Amino acid sequence: MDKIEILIESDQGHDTLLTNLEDAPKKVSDELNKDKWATIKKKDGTTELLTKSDAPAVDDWKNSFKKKVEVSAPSISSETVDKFKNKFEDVESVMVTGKAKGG
Amino acid sequence: MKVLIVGGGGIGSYLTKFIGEYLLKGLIDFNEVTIIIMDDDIVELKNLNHQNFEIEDLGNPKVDALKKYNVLTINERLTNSKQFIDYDMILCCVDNDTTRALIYLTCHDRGIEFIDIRSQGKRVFCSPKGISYEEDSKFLDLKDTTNYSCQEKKDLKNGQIQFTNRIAASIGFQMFLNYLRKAPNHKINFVV
Repeated sequence: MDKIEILIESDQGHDTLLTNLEDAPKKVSDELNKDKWATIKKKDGTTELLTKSDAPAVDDWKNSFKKKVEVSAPSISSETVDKFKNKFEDVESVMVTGKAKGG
Repeated sequence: MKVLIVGGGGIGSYLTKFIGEYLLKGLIDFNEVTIIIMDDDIVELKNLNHQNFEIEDLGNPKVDALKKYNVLTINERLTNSKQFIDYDMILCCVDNDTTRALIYLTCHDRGIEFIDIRSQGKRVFCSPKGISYEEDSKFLDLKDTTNYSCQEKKDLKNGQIQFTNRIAASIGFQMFLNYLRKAPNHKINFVV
């Protein structure tokens, strides 16, 4: 299975989290919900910067996992998760940082 | 074109220097671009280790110390949109989200361009104006009224001065050059 590096800012500089491509959206979402920012770098060199406002809520993920085992109509929350997952298509790496606010 | 640099601290003081050097060498045309810097602070001892000021500037307004870079100056704090609605481009080097929000909102409302330039500790964030206020406001905490130094307190306590304010000023300056040359810019966020 394809793996992806997620660099997470730490006191040492950054920690490297090697994760399955499939698990990356949930892990990044967890970091965004801690009020971090994440820069997704795609294989074509483009980047997208995400914040908490892009991340599905914890309940959205729970509903999304439920949907996998229960046959039910798509809910708004699972659409939110799917939309977020789409951002990780052709992703090369992800860097998670704290916020920069100084001047 | 009238360009306003808002904030003459760790980022703005170096950005002014970089722009001033280009003006002096004729790499930016004086006749086409007027640069004005706005700040209401005075130079303090604690600024000298990471901001672009010298011992002889101590006690003087920061904008006075930056006049040597061939820029016009306004010794005021930016608190009202009326202070910048006559400008074409805002180079935002402020240290708080309250002022950033005023700049973001007014620039989107009035069709003014801006580049937001930030650093904090080892982090750098530079962003051109996005397609909407809603998109840009993702990077603002509207309830946070704190002023943030470009240096982290824990680093200062350990006597460690980071260089990222100068990196942010450099990236912001390149984004400004891109803007003048009608080249695209995109958001940049990283930790060194």
